[in-house]
Amino acid sequence: MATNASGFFKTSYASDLGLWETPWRRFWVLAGLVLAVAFPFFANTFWIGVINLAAIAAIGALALNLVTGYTGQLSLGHAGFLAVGSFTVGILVARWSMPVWVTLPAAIVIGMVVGLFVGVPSLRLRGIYLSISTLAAYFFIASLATEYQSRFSGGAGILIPPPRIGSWVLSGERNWYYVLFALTALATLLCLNLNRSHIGRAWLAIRERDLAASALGIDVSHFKVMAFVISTGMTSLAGALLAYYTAFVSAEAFTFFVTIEYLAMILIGGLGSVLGSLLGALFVTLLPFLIERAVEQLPFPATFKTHIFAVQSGLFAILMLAFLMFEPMGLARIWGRIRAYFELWPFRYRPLP
Amino acid sequence: MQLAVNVLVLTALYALIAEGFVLIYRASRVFSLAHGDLMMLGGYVFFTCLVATGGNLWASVPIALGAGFLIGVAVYLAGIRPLAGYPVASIVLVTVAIGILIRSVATLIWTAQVLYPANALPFKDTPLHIGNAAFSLLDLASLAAALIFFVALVALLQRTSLGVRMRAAAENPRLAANSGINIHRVIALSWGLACFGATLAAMFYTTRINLEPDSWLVGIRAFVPALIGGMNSPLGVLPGALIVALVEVLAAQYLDPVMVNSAPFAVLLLALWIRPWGLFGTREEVVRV
Amino acid sequence: MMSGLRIENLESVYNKTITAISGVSLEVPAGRIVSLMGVNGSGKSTTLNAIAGLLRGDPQEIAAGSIWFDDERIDGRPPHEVVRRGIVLVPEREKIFETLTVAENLQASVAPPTITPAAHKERLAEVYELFPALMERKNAVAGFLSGGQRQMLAMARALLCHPRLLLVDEMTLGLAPLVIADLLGRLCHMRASLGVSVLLVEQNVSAALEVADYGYIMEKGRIVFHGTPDKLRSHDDVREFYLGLGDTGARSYRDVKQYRRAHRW
Repeated sequence: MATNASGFFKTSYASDLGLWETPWRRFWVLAGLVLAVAFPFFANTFWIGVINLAAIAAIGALALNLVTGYTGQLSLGHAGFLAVGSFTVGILVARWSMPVWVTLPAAIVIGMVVGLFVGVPSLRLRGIYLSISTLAAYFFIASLATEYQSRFSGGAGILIPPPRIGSWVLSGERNWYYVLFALTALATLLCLNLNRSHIGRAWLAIRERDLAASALGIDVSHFKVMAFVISTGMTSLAGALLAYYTAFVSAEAFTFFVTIEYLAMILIGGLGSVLGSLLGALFVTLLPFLIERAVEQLPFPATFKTHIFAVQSGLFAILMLAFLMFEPMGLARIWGRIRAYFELWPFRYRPLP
Repeated sequence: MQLAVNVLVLTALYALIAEGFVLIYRASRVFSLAHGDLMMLGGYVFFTCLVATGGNLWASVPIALGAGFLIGVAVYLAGIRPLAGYPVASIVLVTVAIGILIRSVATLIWTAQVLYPANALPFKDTPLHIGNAAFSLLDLASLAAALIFFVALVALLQRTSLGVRMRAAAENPRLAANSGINIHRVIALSWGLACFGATLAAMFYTTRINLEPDSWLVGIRAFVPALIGGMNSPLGVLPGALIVALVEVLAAQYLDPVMVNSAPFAVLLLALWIRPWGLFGTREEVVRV
Repeated sequence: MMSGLRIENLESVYNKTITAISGVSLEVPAGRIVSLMGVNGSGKSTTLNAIAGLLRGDPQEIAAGSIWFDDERIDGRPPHEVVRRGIVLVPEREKIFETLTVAENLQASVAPPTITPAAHKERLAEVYELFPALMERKNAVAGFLSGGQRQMLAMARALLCHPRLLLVDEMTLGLAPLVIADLLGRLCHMRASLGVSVLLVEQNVSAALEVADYGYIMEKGRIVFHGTPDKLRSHDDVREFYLGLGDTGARSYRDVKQYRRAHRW
């Protein structure tokens, strides 16, 4: 975690263990929670739906940040792991009508197994070679998914009925909102705690200099694989939730561009930062909707309207570039700078003692 | 015999584009995912020149190549140089964004229609025959162009002071700066040359086959030969391109024509398992730009 | 040749929040060897990097003060322009190009535009004379040289940029005493025959004071003491903490420093 700009002054062991040490921080977190809970009551259904998508994306982004931001292994296979979760749900529901409390854990477990298969061979590889190995994994999974779809589903996607627990059916944006909010909060807490633990510190060490880390007694392979396994398990869960939420599973939804979107989320949000994953997921999910509105409202030449996808992707690219250039460390760093400004005021920087 | 010709032509194409990947990787330590789009853009520029000059090759070729070089330099100055010192992941994403942007702009300017630059050439590309193999004047030209490009590049890198400085800046930019080398000029040169090679390849590819926004997929496949040869090795792309071209052509011939797209990736997986750093590459970790 | 380096009140900030050095002022007159000494983390390398132009943009930057060379302001200029003006850095780590041969390493150095090709060739010959070991291994790949040979190559490489001021960062690290003495001798020779000034950053204070004409001591980002080698060698605290010749015996470093610092520096 970034240090407090004006210095860290803890007065007890309890405060050392706490997640949010100062009263101010606790206040802001509480305020945020209250706002989040109250949100569906004053927003219209469309925007609740957008936030729901952002919440699912947030789980995926948190997962990606674990392996790419924190442990430093650039994973280009993210869309594949989402597909694993979605297709697990799809297959279990379509063929054996499994209920949701079976399919979700199954998705997580199968995701973790896939993570094991991707993580173990990549132990030999570092840097871009590891990234390309994950890319190859993505292509492999994508082709498997397309194969399945064309053979067993007649080329179309799989329709998923809404999940039910007992007699209660989960449907409607509001209900989804609270469920997803709870799940995202859990995922966030998991990531925060992982990062604070010895596992998180080992990951950081691996990211910075894995040779030095292994010289210090950190079993690099063990922790690398752990990063992959936890990350793909979480991503698989996100994919499963996506399947239930959109009620549809199809291989076409998992293009390489999806991986790029998630990478954009964690890069725009801030590599290695939990807050960054959340902010980034929100930003990237919101963006296409905002662009669509903008293109409709503002006067653009006719060619733009006909090639709407080109315009959308073009604007997405420009915004991504702007972000990457002006604040490559992401939204979390911008937030950190604003905080540092207020914490250090009236000084510009911490003076020498 | 025909197969051999096909393999050679494909090798030349892949080698030209793959060399760009290697040059950029050595100069900026980035894996440029924009290279396929840069190749596509080069193709569009060449096509526009041909149409505008009514098929005048003497004008179109230099203009297109020059534009390609300048576009490469511009991408470096605008997108990569400002981000010096930041994690490689950010910079790879910048190349992705630049690629997407180029593709969008190209679609908006030239529409998504498939174009045939061969029709704009001042001559009809009649096939010649040697033995029972057919190949065209263009194929021959592409082989010659690739050969000249490689010889010139190697001569530049190994024999000239400029080449020594390019290699020095590629290895250790900080130390190079401390030796008085203007690393930005040197790295910009690498980017320009990379894009030059891509445009050269595009000129031959688009006149031989076709030109459309999705042509970038062809360009991006060329990273496989770069990887197999070793991302650090300018000469490694030649055997790398040969291997991939061989596999692709043979697979298309004896297995299934559809396999053309996935054959390079199969070779890639194999390479990653056996020897990830390529035939002539050096083992290394990811460093900051 | 009137050339001199002058630093006035230099202050540098890390990550926009932490000050690395503050109020640093020093001078390197023409043709002199000046030594900058201090323990790890005192800011010596930061000062050198500031002069060499390596402190630009995140995470480190110059926040205040100025650096003058030959009455021309050079702070904030990119590294290759600093080299062009005659200041060359010999870094602490990564001081040679490992994949290039020795000859290519030397070829990579760019001479300032005022130097004619003939003069450059002459300098190359002088360098090979100064370091005969490099002449023997001209076509060897630099990655296979030993520690002492690397340092020689690093200095040779720096000399080929025709410097008027050499910034040497911790050149005695990891070298045997005989090799250290040899290299220091060469530094003096360079000063004598080529008129090169040297700003020598060193932790090895006794070695540095053997060759320096003047010395500065840095602690925690500030210059705390400066003087001629004799003055430094006779100062109690320098003897205690930097030369290990103190007479206070077995007391812990920390207690003594706290107590005496308040009164001495």
